[in-house]
Amino acid sequence: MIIRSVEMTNFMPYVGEQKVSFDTSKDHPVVLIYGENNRGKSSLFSSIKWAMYGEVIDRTGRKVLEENLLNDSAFDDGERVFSVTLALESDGDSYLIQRTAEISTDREGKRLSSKQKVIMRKNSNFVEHVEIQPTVNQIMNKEISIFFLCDMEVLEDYEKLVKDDNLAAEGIKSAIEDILGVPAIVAVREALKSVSSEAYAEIKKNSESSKESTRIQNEISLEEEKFKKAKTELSKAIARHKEKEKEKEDLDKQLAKHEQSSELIGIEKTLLDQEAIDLKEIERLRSEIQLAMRESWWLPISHLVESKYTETQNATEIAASRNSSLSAKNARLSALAGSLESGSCGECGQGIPESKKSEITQQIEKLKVEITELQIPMVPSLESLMEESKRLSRFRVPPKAALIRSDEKSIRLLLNENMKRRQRLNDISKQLDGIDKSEVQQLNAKRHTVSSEIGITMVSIKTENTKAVEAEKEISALQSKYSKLQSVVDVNEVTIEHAVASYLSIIFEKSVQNFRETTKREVEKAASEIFKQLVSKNAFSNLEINENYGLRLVDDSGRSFDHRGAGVEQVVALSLILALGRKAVRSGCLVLDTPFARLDDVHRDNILHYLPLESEQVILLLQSGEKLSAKSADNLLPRVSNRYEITIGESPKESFIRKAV
Amino acid sequence: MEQENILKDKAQVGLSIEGNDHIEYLTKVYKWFEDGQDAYRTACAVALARGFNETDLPNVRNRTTKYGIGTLDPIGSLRDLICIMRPDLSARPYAASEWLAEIGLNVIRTELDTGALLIDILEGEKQS
Repeated sequence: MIIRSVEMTNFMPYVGEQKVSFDTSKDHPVVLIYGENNRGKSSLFSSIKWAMYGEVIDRTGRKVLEENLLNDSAFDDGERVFSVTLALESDGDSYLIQRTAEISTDREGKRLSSKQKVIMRKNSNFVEHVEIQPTVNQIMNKEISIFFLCDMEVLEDYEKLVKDDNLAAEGIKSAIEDILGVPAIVAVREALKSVSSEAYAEIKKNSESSKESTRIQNEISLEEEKFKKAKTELSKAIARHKEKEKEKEDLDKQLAKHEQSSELIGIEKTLLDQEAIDLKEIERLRSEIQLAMRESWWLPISHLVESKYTETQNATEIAASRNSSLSAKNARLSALAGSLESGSCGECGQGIPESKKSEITQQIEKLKVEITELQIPMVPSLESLMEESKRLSRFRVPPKAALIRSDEKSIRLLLNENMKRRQRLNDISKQLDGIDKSEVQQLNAKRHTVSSEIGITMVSIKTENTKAVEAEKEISALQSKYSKLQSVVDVNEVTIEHAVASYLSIIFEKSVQNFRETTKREVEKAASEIFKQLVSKNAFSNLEINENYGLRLVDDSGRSFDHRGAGVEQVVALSLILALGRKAVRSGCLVLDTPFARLDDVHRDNILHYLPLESEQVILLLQSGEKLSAKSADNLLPRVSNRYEITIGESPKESFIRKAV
Repeated sequence: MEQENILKDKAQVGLSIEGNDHIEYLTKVYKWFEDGQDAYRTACAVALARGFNETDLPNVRNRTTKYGIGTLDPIGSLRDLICIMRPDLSARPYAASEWLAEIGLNVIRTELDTGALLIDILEGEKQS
């Protein structure tokens, strides 16, 4: 990986837009960046890591809250967005990563949280969001980055890191192996294991298929039995059917001789059957008429009863009216007589004048005459008329004349029919005179039986045929299943594949171990060589790497030095980094933050001499006070492509980075 | 007075040989009546409807007892019908029923024998 530029906007101490280009080349691989302490060297280093991995880890190993990455001055000016744009090259492709964060504030205006957004372009094409982080890790894995984007202050504790039995140590070990290409060979081993287990699964599946095949074969046998049985039964039914057809044919021949008489017998039977039905119906109709006659025997006189009833009703009304009139006249007579006697009106109480009294007397006399006439007894009396009405009511129930007429006509028709039928029967009887009717009847009965039996055999044929067809279909379906199971996979081929994959897997397992050991030894050798180049004295002969990639200094007699100074620790760590860089499957940049803080001039000169030779791109973040010796300046400056200087702005919260003159 | 007369009326009624023969025919041959008493009552109604009198009775022989009044006319319908429709016969309605039945049976039988429908006979009027 080669870094081409970093562009920061309001990131940490950098206010506004700040761009740093790293126009390194093979002959000028070095970029020098100077800055006072706490002015932004590590922040520039952090900007690269934040752009790539979306987080900033401080030197204590803690993650910095993202909302605090916004420059304070910019925040005070109301800015809420900060970003870093990183331009890279890797394996001949150019990449642009732009990471932006927008922070939100609480009601009091304090920083609350942030929302991150990232876009990435590869050769000007946008990378899909889900693919961004995997692509970044492909360029430089986050775990590996501790060696190539290296804060030397952190690496001072390298030994402690790899000694601890924790996830971090495991991560570093894994990162080193990643640099050296161990994962590739491990991946091959895993692939072989996968092939082996797939082949095993196939063999197992084949074994199950074999069981299924046996089951299907058994089912086929059963269905074949069914088919055979159905075919046998079908043959029997066909034979029976033929036999009965023959029998029917013979009977038909015999009946043909008696064709005419047979026909007459048939007609006779039909006529007799119909006659019986009609006689039964006549009987039913007669019973209906008999019941109707019992219930309305007065039917002949019903019309006269109706007239008589009306007449009686009228007479009753007249008698009732006469009685009522008599009562009214009696009451009037009594009222008039009373008034005349008292001399005042019985109704209004007023006095009756003398002139009116004679008039009232006349009215009384007239009423007496009328009452006398009305009192002459009536014949018949009202009571006897009412009694007569009551008796007549009993006969007013409508007689069943319509029913009787309809039934009688039906009986007459049926009797006529019967008479004709009887005539026809007599004729037939004469024609059949001298013929043995029982023989013909027996033949007919037998033919009827045979016809029924033929019907039964037809049903049997149909049933057995259906059974045979169904069994045949089932056999065909099972055979198709059986063929499919047979053609799944060649068992031998899979067995060989499984054996080869298992064998290769074992070989690769051993190869991984060998490869680890070999590469470790190679790194060890390279680290030793580099270490020798970097140290001021040849006091130590070698660096040894243990299984955890921990480093041990040993002399020619194999004695180790456990107590090392801080400066030596930095040189040891740098030796490992440069050795890893030399042996890495992918070489690239080396960004070193304050690499010389604890080194004397001799070590610094050695390193500055050596670094450009080992890396394609070296970015050194140096303290402003760090002066290059004449020797270093002679070695290094011709290889420097750019020099930058970090300066402070008007406010201590603002830093700027610009090209150094 | 009427009650007293009725008490003097017949408690059993009889039919002549001819009348019995007609009953036999109507119940066994024509089968229009299930029972002879049904034919007896209907015959009375025919005779009443057609306004026959005792003088219209044809020559009949040896009238013998046929039915008791209790079974022939259990609720007095026949008696009431005769009394109402022929007040002149109300003194002895059951006695009158004997000649009414003889005439009615003869009419029904004769007309049936000529091919008439029973219903036409029942709904017809006195032949002139």
